[in-house]
Amino acid sequence: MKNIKLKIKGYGALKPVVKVDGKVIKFKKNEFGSFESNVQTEKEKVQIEIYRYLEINSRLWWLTQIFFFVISIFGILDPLKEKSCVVIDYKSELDLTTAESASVELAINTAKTDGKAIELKSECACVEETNEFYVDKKAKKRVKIMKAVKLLVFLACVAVATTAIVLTFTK
Amino acid sequence: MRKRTNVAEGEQSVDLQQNKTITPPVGIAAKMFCNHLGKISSNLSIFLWALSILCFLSVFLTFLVPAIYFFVLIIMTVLSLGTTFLTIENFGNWWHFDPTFLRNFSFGVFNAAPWLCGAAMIYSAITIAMALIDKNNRNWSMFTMGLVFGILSAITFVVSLAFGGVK
Repeated sequence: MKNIKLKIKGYGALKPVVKVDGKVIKFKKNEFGSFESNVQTEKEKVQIEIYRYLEINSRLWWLTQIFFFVISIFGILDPLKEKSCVVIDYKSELDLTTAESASVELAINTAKTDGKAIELKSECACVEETNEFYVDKKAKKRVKIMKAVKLLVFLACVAVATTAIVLTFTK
Repeated sequence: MRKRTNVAEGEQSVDLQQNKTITPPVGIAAKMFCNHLGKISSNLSIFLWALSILCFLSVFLTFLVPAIYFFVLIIMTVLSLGTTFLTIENFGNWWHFDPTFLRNFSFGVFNAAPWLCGAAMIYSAITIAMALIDKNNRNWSMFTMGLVFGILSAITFVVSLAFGGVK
């Protein structure tokens, strides 16, 4: 059984999903503010995946958004939404053939010139497949459309309510 | 048109926009849905509890409005002394004080308090459920919010019932 000590810096701001061999990893915050986890595996090579998923990209997003809009009293009590639509797409393979245990330090970057999302430090060899930080154009467009529709519906509701009140009191 | 993303000062900005989309897996999408629902439920429970408190306090309108009325009346009387256009009769015509209507209105609003508290308690329960639904990643801050406003709503519910709400 091989042990991987995962440490992740800059996790709190974006809170991406970290997977090791397809299994979602749960992190615990240490006294220095970074997040740690221990992963045990039998494999010689493990795949590390880090994604930041956007709610607006999920299937049936429009249905869930309508539901949230209605139950939050026409969006008034809906918490502030994702505006930046920043996505992390990271996939790498860690070679554990020579080591019984490995410590892996992952640092999440901010939007940088090279668009690299993660910096990985480890004594083991690591092959990166994807390492990107990008703004999802489609999600951004969806957010804009959603905002416009919500504003229109909200104004329509206000207009209907005002008319109803005026008609009630003028009768 | 190339759009630019904010970067730290001194660094060159680069176009980070892409047409690529990653669809979240069903499990993660469900967790995000629950988290969002929990946040809305938490907001709703706070809102409904605050509204129930206002309704509860509305009963004081019965005492407060006549007090304001007579206070204004005294000021108007003082002001009208020596003037021709400000008189008590003019003021009385402008503001018709109807104690029966006021009493019915304030007690009608007061009766809504337990119902609002009941709804706030339901939303608090949803918040707590949504906070604990993910066994691996329980949201304790959301749980605390749900618990605190659930307890507050329960207290307001009991007190408003004790004062004669819902008849």
